[in-house]
Amino acid sequence: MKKLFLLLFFILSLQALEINYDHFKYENFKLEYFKDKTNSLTIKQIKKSNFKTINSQNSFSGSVGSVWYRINFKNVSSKTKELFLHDNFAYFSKKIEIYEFSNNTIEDKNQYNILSDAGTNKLAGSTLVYSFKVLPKQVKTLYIKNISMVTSIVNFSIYDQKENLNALLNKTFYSNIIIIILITLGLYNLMLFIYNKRREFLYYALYLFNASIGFIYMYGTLYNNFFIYGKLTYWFNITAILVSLFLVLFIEHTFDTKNSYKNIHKLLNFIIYAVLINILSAFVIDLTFAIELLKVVFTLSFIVLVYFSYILIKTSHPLAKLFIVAYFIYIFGMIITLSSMSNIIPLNFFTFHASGFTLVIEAIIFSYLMNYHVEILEQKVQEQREVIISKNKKAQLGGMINAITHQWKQPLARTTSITSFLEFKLELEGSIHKEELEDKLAQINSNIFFLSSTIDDFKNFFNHNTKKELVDVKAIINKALTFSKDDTLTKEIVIKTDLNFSQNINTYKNELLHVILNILQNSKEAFASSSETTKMIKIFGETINNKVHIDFTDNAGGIAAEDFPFIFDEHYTTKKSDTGSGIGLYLTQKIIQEHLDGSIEAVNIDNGTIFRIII
Amino acid sequence: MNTNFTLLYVEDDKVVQENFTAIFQNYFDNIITTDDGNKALELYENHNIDVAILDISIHGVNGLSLAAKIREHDQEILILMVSAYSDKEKLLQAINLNLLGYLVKPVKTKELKEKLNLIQNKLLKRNMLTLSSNYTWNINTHQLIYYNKVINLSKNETKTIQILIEHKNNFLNSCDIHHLLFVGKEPGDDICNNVTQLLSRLRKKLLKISQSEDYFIQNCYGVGYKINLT
Repeated sequence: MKKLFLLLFFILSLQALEINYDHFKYENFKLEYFKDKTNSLTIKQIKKSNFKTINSQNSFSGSVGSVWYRINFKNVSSKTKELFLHDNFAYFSKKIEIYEFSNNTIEDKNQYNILSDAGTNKLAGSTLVYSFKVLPKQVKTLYIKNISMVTSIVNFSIYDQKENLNALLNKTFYSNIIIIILITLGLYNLMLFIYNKRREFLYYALYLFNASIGFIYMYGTLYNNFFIYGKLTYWFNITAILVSLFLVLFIEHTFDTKNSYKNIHKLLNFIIYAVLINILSAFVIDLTFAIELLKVVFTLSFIVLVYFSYILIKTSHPLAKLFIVAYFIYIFGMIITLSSMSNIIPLNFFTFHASGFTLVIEAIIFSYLMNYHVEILEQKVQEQREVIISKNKKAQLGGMINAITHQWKQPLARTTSITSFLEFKLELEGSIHKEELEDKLAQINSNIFFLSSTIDDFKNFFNHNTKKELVDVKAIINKALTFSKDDTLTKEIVIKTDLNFSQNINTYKNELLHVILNILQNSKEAFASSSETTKMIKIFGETINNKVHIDFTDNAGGIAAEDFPFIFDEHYTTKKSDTGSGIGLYLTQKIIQEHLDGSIEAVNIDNGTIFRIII
Repeated sequence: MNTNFTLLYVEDDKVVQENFTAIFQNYFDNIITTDDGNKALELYENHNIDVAILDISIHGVNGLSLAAKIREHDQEILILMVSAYSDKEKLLQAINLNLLGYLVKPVKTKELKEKLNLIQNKLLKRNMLTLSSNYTWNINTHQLIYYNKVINLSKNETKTIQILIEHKNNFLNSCDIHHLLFVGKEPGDDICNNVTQLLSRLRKKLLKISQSEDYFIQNCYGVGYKINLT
């Protein structure tokens, strides 16, 4: 980098680079140019033309035809010097010719056909290296004719033998860093897409890959590292058009403009169509035209995105600030680079790489933004899940109230029968024998205690206890049976249990109870549409390798083949909308997998289903 | 209360059964209890049941089916259902069973009392034969009642009224009555006269009570006696 800040030596009066020192390099010096708009002048005519002075790093706006450059060298030392002229942007040219003069006599003439394949174009990677010798006290003049492709930019430098090699080696370093960072971030977003299947990650990955490909072309990496030459490379310009497409798609999905910003969404879609038309024009008309048209598309998308940024701030979207900062940093870099290439501001290393550097910054900020975005999404998912759980608990509450009603029936009926008896006795006989009264009061008490303990059991189920404890699975199953014992379960369904657990397990008691209740509820609901006369639920349990295996087998007709793959899916229900919420089995599986570290599977048997849970 | 009715009580909860049975004893002399629907049906067939109080949720045949089966044989029997609140809807099926009503568990004492009184009134009414001149006859207890007041009758007076009620469509002369009154004894003229005197005494006694000329036994000279129903 430091090299770039080196003060450069040139002597205006002589209009010649003096070659004096043993060790030298010239990277930003003055040279002369002449525009040949007709692209038809011969070297003889050119020699007589009026050249103007410019920097060795420069750009020309608009179409320029061919540009001639003249550089004078004067060897003021006493040694013969070998010099290396680098045309660093040779890859942006179609054709380059170099004429070497010594004292007005031509010594050498070379022609470079850049669009030719590797090997025949004589490029060293992306650079044209022209070596020549200057004898002591000799003055040499190089005439360089450059016919550009799309962009007319130039960057000449001159080195001795040692610096020549250094320059060739260092050339790709910063460009490659930019590209590698962009590709890495692209892969990161692609992985996020594979992981969470959200399209905005895919589009952002594509956006970065597209930009990387664009920079691979722009920075000459394509030639330096991949040795791809020829007309094909020209088509890499299409990446500049695609930038807007992927950016817009990314924005649409990240901010859910389809639902949240309907008007903006229409504008963004309009940009997508414009990009597609732009791409089509490249194939139907030609690429140069498409690149001219790109300026319109680019301006259009810029205006829309500025407007969108304004809306984002107005609606105080949580991602607004990050998005705007990142986007405008990139736009800033992009404008600098474009300006430097259109001769609006000086072309140099920074201005030329500004778009690359700022895109890296944008990509890093966007990656953070995406991370933040995922967090927000996860928060939403978490909120939804909490809603589901409470919905399920409410559904369970409904079932439990039935169960409580059932459980309370007997003690309530008993208690009132006793009080009725006492009332009748008092009324008809006037008194009650003390012992009889004591006996009846004891009966009332025991019934009231039963009522109270039942309600305590239910209350405990709804209390969150987050501690694992040693749980007697058999007792939990029996409790679940008690809890779900409403009238249907008692009168119509026969329950058989065969539970042989050899040890207690360390787990969350209420969660286990919850899932067993859900499975029983599922069977119970399945029986509602079953014509089976001897309705039966068998519960078989045992301990295998320190794990609890419980099979719930019912004969409620089984699960239809078309439903079977989806039974554990959220919102999937085979029941009519008013009876099934579709979250029972989904939640059951979630709780078993995530809280109880277990598994659940369903197997269809002859005329029913087995649910097996292993914890 | 002095009744001669039989209650069939079907309830599967022992505690409720025990307490309710104790309450029902105030209303019925005979109470047959069981907790099983099938046994209940058997008991019904072997006993002369007047009232059935049936819980819906019992073992074996459920209370409603049991009621339906009983109703097939007997249109007169009074049936009271006892159900849990959640079974209330099932009672809609029982609309054709001509039930006396239902009690919802837990049963309120007041409602129980109302239903038991209703049963008692129905039973009493069913056994009352309304005679003319505001007299009623209790078929079950063989009592003559005048404005809710039981009138003391001799054994033969009671039996005579019974005989007249049994032959309420015909005129019986004193000898016919005597014949039915004293089975086995051959009636003579003087003996037949005893019946005439008995009926005459009864007439005087009752007219004294009612303070009126109206009397429910019609005496048609040369034909015989006949009871007057309204």
